[in-house]
Amino acid sequence: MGKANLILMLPEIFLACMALLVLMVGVFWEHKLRYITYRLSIFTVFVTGIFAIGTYSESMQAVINNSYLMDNFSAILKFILCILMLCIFLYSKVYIDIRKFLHAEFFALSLFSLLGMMVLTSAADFLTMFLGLELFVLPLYATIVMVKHQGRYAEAAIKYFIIGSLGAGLLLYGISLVYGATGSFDFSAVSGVQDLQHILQLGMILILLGIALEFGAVPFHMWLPDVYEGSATAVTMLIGTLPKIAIFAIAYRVLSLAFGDVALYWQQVILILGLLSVIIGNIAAIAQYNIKRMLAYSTIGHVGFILLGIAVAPQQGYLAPLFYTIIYAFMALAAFALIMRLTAQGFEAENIEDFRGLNRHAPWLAFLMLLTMFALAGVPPLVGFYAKFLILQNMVANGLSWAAILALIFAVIGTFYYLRVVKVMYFEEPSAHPHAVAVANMSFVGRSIVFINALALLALGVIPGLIVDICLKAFR
Amino acid sequence: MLQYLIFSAILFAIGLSGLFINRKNIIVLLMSIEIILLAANTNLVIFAKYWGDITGQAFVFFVMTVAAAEAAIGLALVVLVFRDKQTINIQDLDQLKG
Repeated sequence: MGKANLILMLPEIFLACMALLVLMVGVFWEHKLRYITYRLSIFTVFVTGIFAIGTYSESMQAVINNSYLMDNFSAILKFILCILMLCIFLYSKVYIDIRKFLHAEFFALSLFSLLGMMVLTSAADFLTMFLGLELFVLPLYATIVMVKHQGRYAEAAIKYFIIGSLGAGLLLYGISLVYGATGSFDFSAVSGVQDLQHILQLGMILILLGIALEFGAVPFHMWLPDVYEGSATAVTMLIGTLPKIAIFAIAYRVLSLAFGDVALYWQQVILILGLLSVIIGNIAAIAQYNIKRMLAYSTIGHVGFILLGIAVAPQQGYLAPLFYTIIYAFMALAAFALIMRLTAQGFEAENIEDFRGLNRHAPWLAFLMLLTMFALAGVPPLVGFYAKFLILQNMVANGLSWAAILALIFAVIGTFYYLRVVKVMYFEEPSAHPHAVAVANMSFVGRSIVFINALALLALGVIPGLIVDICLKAFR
Repeated sequence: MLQYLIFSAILFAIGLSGLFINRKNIIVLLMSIEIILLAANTNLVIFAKYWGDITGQAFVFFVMTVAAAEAAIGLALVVLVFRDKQTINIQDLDQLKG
């Protein structure tokens, strides 16, 4: 392990140092210089993103006894994680003031969580994977309650904590069994084993269950709606976007590097989890009147699609699910940012009713929301359609037409609840509640980026090649 | 070696059933999670001995650190819940439903 090696970890090292610095600055200077932690965090994420894309190279390199992989996949995913985090910070600058968040702690914890996710995208053995996972979920539990008056936030946090810890426990027990079967923690050591002993099989299933649980796939989805509804919108935005990419990254690493040769054993499991998620997510979302809860169930549906893509990935490649994950993260980002635009002092736009007649007061905002909802539903000119199309195409190519048709039917059923939001915004009279649009609840930069974000969903739908190219580069 | 594995499997089962059967107390849930992590630790140590490989034992130290961090956050959250509701009964956590 020489000097040249550690340079490759520069983004993570820089991020870790800066996260500690943000914490310290918050303790000593925050009351003198307002927004200093905010500015410092923006700077940190920006520079980390540049460093991350700087690690992009043609060859794959391993650091620290092959436990840490630096390749195109990790470089690109880290860069995307940084973009998402930057957007979240810019969006929520004013919101976290209104909701009385503890600034320094919120930013420092988010940065630590980002660090964990970046570690996760590079993990090449089970130890790195476990530590990365814990480093990214533990700060998230705490972020939920980083508010002056916790109230119901504490309930969401403890639910998330218990389910998340259960996931980590299952994963860890699975790892210990896999270690027992192979005698090594390297992903590559597992792939050498051809016939699966029972112990390895059990370990693999437990690891898969742990990953599915953190993803929010169906038998383990009950935490998701509670956490989405119970957290402040800024935190929901954080939980709803970045972790999906990080968990997809680790699923890709584990399933392709460790269990790539024994794909037959896990494909069926993932397929069933995916189908169940698409079905239950889309059906349960219909009954929701709270928009964050509705988006949580829609998340479950989208996770189902990602899992379906992963289930056929050993034959068809990981391009489609990666594309879907990235697109989903940006769609969810836009959706939560627009919900955030409707908040004000003491008023949280939570129910779909709160969007009633939005078109009268703020036609542009309503239009952006319409674009986002259509993108999530997968209506053709928007990018969500192309993402779904790629997954379904892969499934049909793999001879799973029946599953593709089933998924399609439930995606169409899912359109109902997205369209309901559009109907409420455009075809119903405004409610007595004044919309909070006029209130300054987002900085100018944030507002412009929401605008770009939502319009990009349309633009990328017309030319999906841009993101597909990036995804292709990730696997080169 | 088998009896050790059975021991850790029993620990794991106790932890899991503690999570699913328990309907009263959040602290018991935290204890169950700790027991699951301990079961995995026991497994790791047994297999490290079996393979004559030190990595498994090193892993245990990391897991113990993580378990400590988890317990710290978990207990802090329990304090918050108690301050809000004056109880740590699971049945009273019913504000979020749907």
